Amino acid sequence: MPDLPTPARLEQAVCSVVRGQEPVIRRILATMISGGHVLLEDYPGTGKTTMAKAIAAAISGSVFKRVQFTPDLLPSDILGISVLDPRSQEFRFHPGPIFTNILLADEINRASPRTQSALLEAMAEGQATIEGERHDFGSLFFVIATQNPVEFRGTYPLPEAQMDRFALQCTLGYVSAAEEVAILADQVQTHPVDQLEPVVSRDEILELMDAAKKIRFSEELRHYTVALVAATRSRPEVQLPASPRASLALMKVSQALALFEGLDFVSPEIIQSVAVDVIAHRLVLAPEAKYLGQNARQIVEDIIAQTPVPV
Amino acid sequence: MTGNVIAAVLLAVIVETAHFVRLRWNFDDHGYARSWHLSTIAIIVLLVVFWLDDSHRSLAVSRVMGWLPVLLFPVQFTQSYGLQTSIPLNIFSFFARQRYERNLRHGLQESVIKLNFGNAYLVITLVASTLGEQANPYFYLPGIVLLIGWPMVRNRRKRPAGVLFALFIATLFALTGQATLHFATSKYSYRGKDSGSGTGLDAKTSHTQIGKLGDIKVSRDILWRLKIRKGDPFPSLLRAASYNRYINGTWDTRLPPGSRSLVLDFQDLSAYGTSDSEDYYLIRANADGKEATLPTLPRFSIRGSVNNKSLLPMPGNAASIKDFELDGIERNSFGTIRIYPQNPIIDGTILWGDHQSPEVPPWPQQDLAVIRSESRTVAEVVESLGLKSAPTLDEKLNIVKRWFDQNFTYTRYLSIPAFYDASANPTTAISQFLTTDRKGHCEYFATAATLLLREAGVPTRYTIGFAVRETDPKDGTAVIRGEHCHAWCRVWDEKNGIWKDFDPTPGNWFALEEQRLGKSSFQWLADGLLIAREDFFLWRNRPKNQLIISIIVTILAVGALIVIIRRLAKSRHVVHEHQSAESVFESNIRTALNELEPTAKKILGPRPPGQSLPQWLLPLQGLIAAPELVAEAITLHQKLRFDPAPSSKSVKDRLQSLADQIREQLDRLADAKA
Repeated sequence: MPDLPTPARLEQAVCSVVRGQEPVIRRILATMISGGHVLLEDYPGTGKTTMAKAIAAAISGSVFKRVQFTPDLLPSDILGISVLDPRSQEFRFHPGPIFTNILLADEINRASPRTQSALLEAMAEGQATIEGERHDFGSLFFVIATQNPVEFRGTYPLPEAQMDRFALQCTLGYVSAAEEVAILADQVQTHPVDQLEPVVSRDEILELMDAAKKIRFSEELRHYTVALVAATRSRPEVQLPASPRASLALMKVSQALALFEGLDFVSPEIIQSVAVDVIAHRLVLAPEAKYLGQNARQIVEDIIAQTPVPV
Repeated sequence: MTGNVIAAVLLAVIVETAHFVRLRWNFDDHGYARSWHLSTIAIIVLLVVFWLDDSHRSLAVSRVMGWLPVLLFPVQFTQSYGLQTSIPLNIFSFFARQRYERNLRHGLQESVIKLNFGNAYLVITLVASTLGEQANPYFYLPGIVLLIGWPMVRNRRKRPAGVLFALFIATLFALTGQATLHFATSKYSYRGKDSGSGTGLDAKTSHTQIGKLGDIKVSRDILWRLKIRKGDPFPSLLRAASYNRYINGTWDTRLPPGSRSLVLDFQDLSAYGTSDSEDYYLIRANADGKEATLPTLPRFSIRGSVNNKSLLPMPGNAASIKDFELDGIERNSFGTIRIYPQNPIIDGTILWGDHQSPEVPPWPQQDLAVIRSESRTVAEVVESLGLKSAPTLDEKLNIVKRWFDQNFTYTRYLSIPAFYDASANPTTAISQFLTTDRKGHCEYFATAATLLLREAGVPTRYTIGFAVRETDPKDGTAVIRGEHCHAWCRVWDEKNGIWKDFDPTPGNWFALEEQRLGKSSFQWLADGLLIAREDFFLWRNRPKNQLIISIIVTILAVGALIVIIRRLAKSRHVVHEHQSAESVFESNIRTALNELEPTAKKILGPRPPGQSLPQWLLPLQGLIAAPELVAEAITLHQKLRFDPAPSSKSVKDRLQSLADQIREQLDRLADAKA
C-alpha cells in the first residue's frame, strides 16, 4: 500500500477493521487531522472502541489510552497525581491517561460534571496545569469521546459550553446485515485490530495536519460558512445558537476533508457534507420546539436547504 | 387611476422604502386583521360617498376600484413593514378568523395559508390603473406588450425568431385585452348616462312612439320634486321643449330660412339683480326685470338630478328663476331652457304666471305647415268639424278638445302600425288615429291636435314636458316621475300676442294610467333612497355645511392617523444588521457550467437554493449519452469556481467545450421530451 497517498492509506487501514462505516470514518479522521476532537453518540457495541483502537494501531509511534468514565471518577484519575516518594522525600508526578496521543473517553456522560470539565479544559488547551505545573500533551492529541444517548439512566448530560469544544459529533449507528455478517467472519479466529500493522508514521500525520491548513478556502465560501452558522441565530426554535467557534471548526474540518477527497481547495459540497455534524450538537433548542419533536440535526439540514449555496 | 399623482407617488415611496430602511413591526394576526378592517371601512365609506355624489350611480363601483390601491394600503403596509414575509389568508374572512380562533382555543391544529400580499397589490394596482376617469387606454397597449413580452423574451435564448414570436403573442394578448376592456367599458360604465331626468329629452328632436306597436314602458322613478310657496297655485304642465316640424313620428325644430343655425339659436339668458341682492335669470328675451321678479308672482322650488345641457322643465308662462347653482343657462327661439349645472343635483326657484311666453312669435311658414302625407286626412277632419269657420281661438280649441274627449280613448297600448297596407287608405299612423282607430297616448293627441289647428290657421307647436299630477296640497309639494311625461301643444294667441298651453289629451288620462300600472310595493324604498341622497347632497353642498363637514372629517382622519402612528411608534422594531446583511457574498466568477443552468432547468426543474450545482446536475449522468462529460465538467467547474489559486486558460477552454457538448445533448433531450 505504500503507493497510496497518506490519507487514503490511513483510511483504508481503519476501514479494514471497522466495517461499513466509510463516510463516518473519513469525517472522524478529518477531524483528527484538523486538530479537533470527536464526540460519538451511540448505542453500546457499535464499534466505537474498535475504531479508536484501529486509528491508534494504524499510526506507528502513537500511544493509545482509554478511560472508562464512571460516576466516581475524579479529575486526578485522568490528569495524574503527585505522590510523595519515600526514598527521595519528593513529590513525583504520575501522569494520568490523558498524557497520550489518542484518548478514548468512554461514556463521558457517566462521570460527574467536575471530572468532565477537567478533561474538556485539557482538550481545549492542549495542555494541563497540575499543581501549578504546566504539562504539554505534544503535537498529536486526539480525543474520541463517546456518550450514551441522553435518555439513558445514570447519565450527567454534558453542559452546553463543553459540547461546543467538540469539533464534530456523529453516530456510527448499526450497520447493514451484510456488513454485520462480514464482521462475524473477520473475528472468527482473532480480532482484526490486533493484526493491524501501522501504515503511517506519527510524523506523517503531523505533515498531514500542516497540509490541511494549506488547503485553499475561498472568500466566497468563508461567507457561506458564516451564513450557515449565523442562520442558527435567527431561528426561533433555537434557544442557544452556534458560536463563531462553530464556523472555525466547520472551516478546519472542511479543509481536512478536502485533503481526504484529494482536492487542494474546499468546495461547497464538502462544507454541506459536514455542516450537520459540526453545527447541530452545539444548538440548544427552545422547549416548545423540543416538545414539537424537532431536533437540532433537522434544523441544520433545513438551514442548509434554505441558505443559497454558491454555484 | 384617480389622477392623484402626489398620493400615488407617496404610496409608492412608502412601499418601496421598506427595502432600504430597517424599521419593522412584528404584526400578529390581530394586527393584520386590523389593517384589513381599516381597509374595509375605507372602502365602504368611499362607496357610500361616491354613491351619494355621482349622478351615474352605476359608476360608483368602478370609481372605488380606481381608489383601491389607496384603500388597501394599510394591508400592503403590514406586508411591506411586517417582520413576516407573508400574511395569513384568513384575515380576509370574518368566518375563517372565527373558526381559526375557536380551533386555537380548543387546541386544534389548523394550517394557515400564507399569502404574499405584494403580488395581489400589484395586480390590484394594474387593474385600478385601467379604471376611473383618468385611465388612458393608450397606456394600456404598450404597457401590456412590455409586461407580457419581457418575461417571454427573458425566458428564451437569444434567437431573433423566438423574440419576435414572443412579442407577436404579447401584442395579440394586448389587443385582445384592450378590445375586451373597451367593450366592457362601453357596455357597462356609461349605461346609466341617459337615466338622469331631462337628459333623455333633446332640445332639437323628439322621437315619438307614434307608429310603434306595443306597450309603452315608463319609469316610476322620481325625476323632479316641487315645493310650492304657501298660497300659490300648482302649475299643471311643466314644459321641457317645443318643436315645430313633424315627419313620420319625429318632431324636430326648424328655423325660418336665413336665420342662424340651431346650435347658435341658443342664447344666454340675461341676469337681473334686484334690490335684495338676489340674482334672477329672466326667462323671456325682452322682459322687464322688475315685472318678471315681482314678489307677488306665484313660485315654486324644484329639485332633481341633472346633466350638462339638461332641459329645465318650467311652466309655459315662467317669468324668471333664481337660486340655481349654474355655470350657464340658455334659451332657444322655441322657449326651451337648457342649463349647465355646477353639481349633478340642482335646486332653485321658478317664478311664473304673468301671461307672457318666452318663445318668439310664430313663423307662418313653419308653424302652419301640415306634412303632405297627413294633409288630406287632416283637411277632411277640419272640414267635418267646421274648425276653420269657428270665429275665435278659444272656440277652435273647444271644438278640438270636445271632439277628442267624446270620440277618442286614451291608451298607452299602441296598436296603430305606421304603414300597415300600402293599398289601404289612409296609411299613416296619424291618419289612422284620426279616422279609424281613435285610440292612442298623449303624443298622438298632441301631434294630431297640432296638425288640425295648423290646418285651421292657428300657429301651433308640439311640446313635451311633465304633467304635475302627484300633488300634496297640504304640504304644497309635488312629485314628478318618469310616468308623468306628457306631450301637448303650444298655440299662438293672436289677440294677446302670446303662446299658451293647450292639452288635447282627454282629462282622465292619468287616472287610466294609474289604474293600469298599479302600485309597486318597493317604490317607497326607491323614492326614499333617492330623496335622501338628493337632500343630503344639497345639504352637504351648502358652503356652511361643507366647512363643518370638512372640519369633522379632517378631525376624524387626523385623530385616527395619530392613534395609528402612536401605536405603530410604540411597537416598532429595528431589524438588526445581520438580517439585512445576510445576503451571500456574490462572486463575479461564472463558468460555462453556470451558463448551462437555464438549459438544464428545462429537464431537471429549478434548482433548490440550498442545492449545489454538482448535486443538482447528478441525475444528468443517467440521462445523457456521455456521463463522463458531466463528471469532468463538474470537476473543472469546481476548480475554476472555488479554488482561489489562479487557473490556466486551458482549463477554461476545456470546460467551455465540455459545456457546449453537454448543451447539445441537453437540447436534443429537451426536444425529445417535447
